Amino acid sequence: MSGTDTTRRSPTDVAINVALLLVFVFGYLLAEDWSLRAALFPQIFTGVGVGLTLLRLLLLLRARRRGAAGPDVTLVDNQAEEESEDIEYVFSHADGRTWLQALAWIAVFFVGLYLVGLFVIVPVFSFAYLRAVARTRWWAAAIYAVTMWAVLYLAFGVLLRLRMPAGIL
Amino acid sequence: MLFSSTLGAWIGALALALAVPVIRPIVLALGPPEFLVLTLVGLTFIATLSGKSMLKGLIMACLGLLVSAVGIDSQEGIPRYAFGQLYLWDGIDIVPLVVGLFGGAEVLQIMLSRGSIAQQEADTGHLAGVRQGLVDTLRHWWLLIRTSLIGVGIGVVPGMGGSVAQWIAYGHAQQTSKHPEEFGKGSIEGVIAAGAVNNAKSSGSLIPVIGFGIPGSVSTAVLLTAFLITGIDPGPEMLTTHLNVTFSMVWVIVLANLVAVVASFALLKPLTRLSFISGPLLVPFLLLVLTLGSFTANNSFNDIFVMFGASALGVACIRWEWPRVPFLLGVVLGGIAERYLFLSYSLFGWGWIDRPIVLLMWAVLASVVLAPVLKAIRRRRARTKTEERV
Repeated sequence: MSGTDTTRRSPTDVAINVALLLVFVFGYLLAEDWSLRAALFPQIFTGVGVGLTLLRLLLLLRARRRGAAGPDVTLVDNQAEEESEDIEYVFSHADGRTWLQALAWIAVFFVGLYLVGLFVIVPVFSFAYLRAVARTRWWAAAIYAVTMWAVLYLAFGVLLRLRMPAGIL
Repeated sequence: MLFSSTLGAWIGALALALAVPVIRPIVLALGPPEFLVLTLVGLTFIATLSGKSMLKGLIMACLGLLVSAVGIDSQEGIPRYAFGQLYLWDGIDIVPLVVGLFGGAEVLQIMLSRGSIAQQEADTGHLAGVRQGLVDTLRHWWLLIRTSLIGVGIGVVPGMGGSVAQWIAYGHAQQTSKHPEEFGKGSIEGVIAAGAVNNAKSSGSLIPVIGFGIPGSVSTAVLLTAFLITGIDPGPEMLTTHLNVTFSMVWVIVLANLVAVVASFALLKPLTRLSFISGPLLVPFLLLVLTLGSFTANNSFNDIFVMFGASALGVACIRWEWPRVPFLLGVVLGGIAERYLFLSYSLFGWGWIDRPIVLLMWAVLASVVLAPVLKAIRRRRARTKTEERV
């Protein structure tokens, strides 16, 4: 039943813990201004959150000082619907350049979506992404882009009558 | 495997139908204080069991509760954690949150790995063995019933995963088999046990959702959310005014599994080929689906920002091993828990805390938290003793 949590002694873990502690403290203090009935529930769980993050922080720091395995009660076999090893492996082993490229493509999609809307960004992004990342031939990327636009227009727009996000331009 | 899974699901559906008259008097005897503590017990179960660290699970559950408090307070009409944003007055919608938390992370994984979802060709078997599979399953009918009931029993307990249920059923099948030496070498009894328990567990997990409004997993949490969106309140209502919905779910399980087995036979091979499509080819389509999935919740661009934020949170959770499920359950159960808190306070003042059944549930909650802690302390002491001896 026991296992090891590989991240639990890392400085990042301490930083995340501190960030969460600040979030709970901020949440608690904001609720101070509200009436009792509105503030009661948020203050109960932000108070519990403050206590738990402080406890974990203290245990983390104590474990770091001792060089011990770490503070957490570890439970491994019960990860019912948690992430698979594959996804964990990809996120922890992808190099900085791959991360940067993936995040840049996501940024291009969402900035484009905000500016020109879904109908324009979907075919443009599909063509550019397939050419640059999948190294697809230009005509195949063009067919894919047109098909995507057609699916978007016919299936989602005409058939399902969904409203599409329009750009600000 | 397909037949044992389907028959396991049907037995689970029957158990669900039979459970209704059993749990109805219990549910109707409980009041808001009991439901409040039950909700907290469910949340604590998931928080302690859904990740590698219990403390991380509990902290994420609190974070989820914090997110659930965003929006206009239903008691006094005060905007909470809205920071002057009109969009936040309605609270954070669960749909873009789920889409980002789980879907966004998967898309990023495909973008980073650039491979296909499956790497090796799986042997989908020959359809000629269909009849043999049915005969084998029916020949071991008693094992099928036993392991299905194990699945229902484990499914009722929130947070008990599929792997736990399958190992228990597999172990039971091995213990009671006349040929235990064949287990691990393709024993048909092992296959039937694992298949039956898998789907029966899903039916069992519906019992706490329907009866008490406690989801035990992501899928049942999403189902609970769907109930709330459509105005169905799990708990007493599902066993009285909305009893037809409960029994509809029984029939849906029966029919859906029948459709699934037919579709599996017809489409198994072409569907497996889908998993070999190159990842980058899927990325534009998946981004489109993510965007539409979150935007159509309220036709608001702000939902896309929520999905974007939830994706970042989901990726961070996976990268630094913080569990996402307790966070989601915190968001889903937060509103329900707060409603029960105010009903309890309005009806009984602070006296609700020491009602007999509530006290019993506090004890269960304490044991859920303390049991793993005590186990860890005992393990640490045993390790120290061993090191001292060495």
